[in-house]
Amino acid sequence: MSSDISARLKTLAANIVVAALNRLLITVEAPKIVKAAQKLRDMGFDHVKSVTGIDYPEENRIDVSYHVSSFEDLELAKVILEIKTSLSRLEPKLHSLIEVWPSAEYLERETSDLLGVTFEGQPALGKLMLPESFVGVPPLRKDFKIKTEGIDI
Amino acid sequence: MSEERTIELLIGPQHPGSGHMRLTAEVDGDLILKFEPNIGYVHRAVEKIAETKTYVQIIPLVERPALPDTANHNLGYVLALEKLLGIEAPPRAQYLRTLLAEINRIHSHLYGIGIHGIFLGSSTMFMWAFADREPFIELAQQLTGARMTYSYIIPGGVRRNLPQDFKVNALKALNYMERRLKDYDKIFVHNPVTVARLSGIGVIKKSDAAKIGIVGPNLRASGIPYDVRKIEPYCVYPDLDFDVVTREEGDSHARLLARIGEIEQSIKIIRQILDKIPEGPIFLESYLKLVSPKMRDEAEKTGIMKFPALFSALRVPKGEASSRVEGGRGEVFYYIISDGSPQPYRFRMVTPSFRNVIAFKYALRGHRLADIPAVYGSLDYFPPEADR
Repeated sequence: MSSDISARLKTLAANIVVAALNRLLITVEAPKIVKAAQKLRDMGFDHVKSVTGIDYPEENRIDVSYHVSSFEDLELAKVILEIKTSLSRLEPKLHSLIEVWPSAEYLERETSDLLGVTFEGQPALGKLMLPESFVGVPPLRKDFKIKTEGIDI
Repeated sequence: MSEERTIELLIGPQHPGSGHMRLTAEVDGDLILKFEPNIGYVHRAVEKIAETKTYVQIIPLVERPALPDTANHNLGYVLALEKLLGIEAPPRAQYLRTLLAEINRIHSHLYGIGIHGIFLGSSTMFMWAFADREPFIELAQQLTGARMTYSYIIPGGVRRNLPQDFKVNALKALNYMERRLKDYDKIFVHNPVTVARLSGIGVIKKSDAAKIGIVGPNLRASGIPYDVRKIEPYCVYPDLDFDVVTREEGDSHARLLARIGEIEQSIKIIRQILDKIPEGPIFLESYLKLVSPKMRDEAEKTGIMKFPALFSALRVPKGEASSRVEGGRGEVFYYIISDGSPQPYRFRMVTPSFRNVIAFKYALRGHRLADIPAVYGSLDYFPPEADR
């Protein structure tokens, strides 16, 4: 599987590793993500399970991970691909994958709300999880601190 | 068609039946041209809160968004955590986990069917399904000590052993449910009114179902036999004989029938578990050694494992893990990043309802306003679970 994918992606993928049993981690550069996603979709990976943004303030980056697998091909369904890319934390911008995978729509919108990542090509529909009036640091960034009541042990 | 012909109709965000969400429909007369769900009204920032909690404190946290389906959410999280810790629970614990997951699946489906009933105006179906959840909630209580929020599954095992008279009670509940399914069929499932309201309504074609990425019975009702219990088997599912329930029609009635079919399969699974469950420890031996001898004796005598203090200082090695389980409403996906500290660095939880919200957009286009409750109910959509 891993060699098949690397043959198809060629230079589109910066790195492909088997992360665990049935889990493949594919690192791509942000500008190449749409092309890489198209290739994987043509292979039969037909839906997105999750879009995760991860904030690393010390390294000044935000990683975005797409977990992708298949429903129609039950052999491919056994594998979950993680497509990971790094963005600058100052201006995290990535081309949306909803044209490749429509199932990414709400997942991307959530990440856009909670981590402040801009997905280009996503129709601007306003906030999904947060109130329309919300301003300030996106809640899943590390510099957003939640108030605790101090009763935890 | 001129633009003046259409109006935008807002539904919600008051409680339309199973939680708060807003639906925006663009209608021409009562014909739906465009349908847009707007969620987030019950967003509780579970992922952010998880970053401030220790790993074991997250167990009750992940249960809260999906009260009718807590066991499966609990299980998915603990499986991801066990991958990070590099441990596996003993066989008897795996059987007990599967047992609770299937009891939960039955009463989660009954919840969905009941809500679907009241959406269609069948208050009988609503009352029956909610009343018939009770024997299964009682069973869960007997096993775990709680009706809904069990926190039963912990890293390395489960918290309680099987009570002595459990098997007798479970068989009673299963026999009762089998009888009741026949009653359901007569009064609701194949009632001409139900069939007229549901069949051919809200069709999601097979290719569309995969494309929009819906999960669970909704996906299988569109003809895709994807069930995590078969695709990536966990716990003791490989040793159990059950079928993946699929339907070809993809309409609202098919989704109802898929749930009924899954209740039958869960009954079959629980019968097998009751016969096959092996003797043995319910908690990992190497963890048990870390517990004080007094607590160990007590656990042996009562069959109840208190949350051991070792968990408050649980150190999870640096790394990443992801897990998936088949919850009542569909696939639950977890992705945890650990930096070696007592809290996760990033905690990602994708619930089935959140993945199913997109179905509203596709399934309602071209239908009448009066079809909204019929389709909404058939999706078994639960806003708190979607919003997390």
